[in-house]
Amino acid sequence: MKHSLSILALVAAQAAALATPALAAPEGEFVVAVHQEPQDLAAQGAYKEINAPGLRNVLETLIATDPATGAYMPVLATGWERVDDRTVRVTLREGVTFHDGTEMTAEAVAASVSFVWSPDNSFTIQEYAGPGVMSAKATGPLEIEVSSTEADPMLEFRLTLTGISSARQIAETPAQHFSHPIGTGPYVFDEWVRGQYWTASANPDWWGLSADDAYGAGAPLFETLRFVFRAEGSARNAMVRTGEAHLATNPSPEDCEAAAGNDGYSCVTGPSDAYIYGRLDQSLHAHPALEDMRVRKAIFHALDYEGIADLIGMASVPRGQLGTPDMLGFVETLEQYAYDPDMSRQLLDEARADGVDVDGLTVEVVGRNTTPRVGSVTEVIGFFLEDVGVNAKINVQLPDVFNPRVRIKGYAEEAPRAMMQVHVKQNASGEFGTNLLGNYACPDIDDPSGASRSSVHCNPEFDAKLAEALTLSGDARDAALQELVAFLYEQHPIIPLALLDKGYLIRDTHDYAFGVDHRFLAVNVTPKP
Amino acid sequence: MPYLLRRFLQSLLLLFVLVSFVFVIGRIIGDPALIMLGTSASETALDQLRENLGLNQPIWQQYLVFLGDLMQGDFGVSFRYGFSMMPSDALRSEGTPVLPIVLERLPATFLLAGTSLVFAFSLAVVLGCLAAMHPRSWIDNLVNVISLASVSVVQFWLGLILIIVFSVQLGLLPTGGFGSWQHLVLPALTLAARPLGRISQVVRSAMLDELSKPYISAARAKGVPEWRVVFVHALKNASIPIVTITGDELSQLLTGAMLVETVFAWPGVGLLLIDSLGRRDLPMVQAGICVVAALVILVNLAVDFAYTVLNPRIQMDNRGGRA
Repeated sequence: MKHSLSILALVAAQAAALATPALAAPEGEFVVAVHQEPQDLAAQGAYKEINAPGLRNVLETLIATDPATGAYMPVLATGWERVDDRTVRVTLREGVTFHDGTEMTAEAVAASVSFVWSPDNSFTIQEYAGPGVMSAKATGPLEIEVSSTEADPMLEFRLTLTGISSARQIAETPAQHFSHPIGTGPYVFDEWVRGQYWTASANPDWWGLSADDAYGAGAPLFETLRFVFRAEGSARNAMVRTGEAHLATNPSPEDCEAAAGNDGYSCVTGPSDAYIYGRLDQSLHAHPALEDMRVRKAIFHALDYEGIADLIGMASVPRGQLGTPDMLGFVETLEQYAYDPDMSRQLLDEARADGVDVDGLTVEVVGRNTTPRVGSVTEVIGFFLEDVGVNAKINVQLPDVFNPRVRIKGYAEEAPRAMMQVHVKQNASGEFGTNLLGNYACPDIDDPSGASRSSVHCNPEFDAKLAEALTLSGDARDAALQELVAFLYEQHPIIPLALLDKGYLIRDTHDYAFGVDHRFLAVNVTPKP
Repeated sequence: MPYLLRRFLQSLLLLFVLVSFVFVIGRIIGDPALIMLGTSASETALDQLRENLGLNQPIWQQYLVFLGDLMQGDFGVSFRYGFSMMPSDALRSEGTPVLPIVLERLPATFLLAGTSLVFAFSLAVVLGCLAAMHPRSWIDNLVNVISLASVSVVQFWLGLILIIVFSVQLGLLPTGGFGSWQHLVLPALTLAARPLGRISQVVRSAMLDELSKPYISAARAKGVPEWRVVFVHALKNASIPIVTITGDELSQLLTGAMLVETVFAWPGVGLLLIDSLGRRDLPMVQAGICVVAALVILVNLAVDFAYTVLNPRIQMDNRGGRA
């Protein structure tokens, strides 16, 4: 019986092999006009679309996130399981080699993970570090254990950010690690010409060519990739229009609108992990009127969210929370606050009748000048507030002025105020935990660099529940976070203004499908017939 | 003291003042460590960087170390160019020295600035002479309009317009980048606009003066061909103000290339400086400013040297000032 099954399996495997269409040899060059030159190409930056666009094509992670569902997907790992609240055991994919020819062993991966997360290196990825120090050790030929010195329910998430690179390079030529990435990805790094471009070639030995669970098209279709640095958006747009580039990152909404009526190129958009919100002062020495729920509610219902999303462009209306449905803690039943100016006026009248100093309130709507369309957005918010009878003044400030004002230290030094910060935030964590901690937990003036340094909200009861939720994992964490998100929805502390989409300009010769991660992957590009 | 030696010493003094100014500015705009790492950096990281950059020392000691290093051509190392943040102790010695990077970018800037100047100078001399030969004619008016428009146009805008016309609409030239003569055309044209306008105005004015002088009438009376009268006799005598403005414009080109290099992704010192400012890479910015400033001083010194060639009487004047 066992023998018969073996024969059956062999026949099935051969049939499957015959049924698989032959993979076309990679050909041609695919040029991407990116918005900035990377500061470096170190593995720790593999998760960054902003600072190291394109790097994920060379360096892969153990697991990745599906942006549509938020589910973790296998990449260099084929399985992972919790050992305890500090440890995840990861089973590695067999037969993977680094671009320098070394085998992807458990020791190599463990060394790479530990290098990226070592506090000694102070890499910028530390902003996503957990409560403890993260490291990894080999526990078998193809098995590692990733652990943290503190209980860390988000270890799996942190692995989605961790680029895996050659351990031999880290050990023997560590300085090269920053300029010559050696990964396992579908493209092999070639050269970086400073100030101009970096290139990579198709990897003929990529594990995805023979694996049935590879991401994207499953094969590198282009002989070479070239990432050309063009800081000026109009110039990137022109590159796609002239055919100098096949794809350009970070188009403006105007670029995408213009592309809609053009034959030669188009704009593809997909969800991103960035959102724009209005944060109202409510703790410390905020104007007393903002402590009245009716006044806050009136402000929330005074804004036309559809109109604001249209104004920003490449944006959509959020669902009453600072995140997307793929995030852990997202509450499906919530809807965005309704635009109801009549209700706002009524609420303000009620507050006035009860002696709340509504007429003495002037909300300072302040945006940072790096926020998209910040001038128009702050102006329109000011208009909506004035329309229902709330005094408003608008202000757009440079980061040097704006940033200290949104931190607890700067807030404490200011006179009593009623500020609405119009701000963009990115949440790569895939869940509401860090989001809630950063935006809603009581800030501590004695800890000006603490996780809640930018929060203007304070509710000790909420903090206690949040602290408990952050120790949980899986469904329990999801449920606890949902409860907190639903609670905040009723408190009206921060206005979710819009969810920002990600977009690429692309020549009509190719299609792009947003796949794993939120980052540009050449294996997600397919030539049009 | 010979004129050139005196100018050389003055230039050295100017360079010293400028370098000191760069040092002072780097300290009074705030804590350099905080500027480089940002307000989110931990105190540990800030302390590490302060120690690494010697910022914990007294300011006078920092200044002396800064000057001492400069004398040896050492502008320090960058922990932002090619590094994600503060590398570990093991890698700290690998920080990238900034001066070689700035020098590596100089040829591209020289090529762009030089091409722009040659183009602007050649065309400006022709236009200025033509205008001076036909004062108050339609040619003169046309040259005036061209020169005023060239001086007034915003380079950033002009660059984008040239991209739209010559790259997107006509498909004749690349939108930017580096590598062939085609890549050079649009940035050089953009950068040449301002010097074209200014030099042509000065050429016109200087040539109008010269062409009204008696020796020109005498030359014409002798039957010297008009082209020779204008381009040989008059132009040579009008050359001092032209050389002055050209030297000034070359200095402007070196410093003004920043925007043009950014629009056209031209990998010169300007683009490096803009990138470094964005990355808050203080050592790189300091090195870039000092090198560009030294070049500007050098250009001015070369202009002074050119005076002595064009007018040997200047060399004899030891009482100060240009003759």
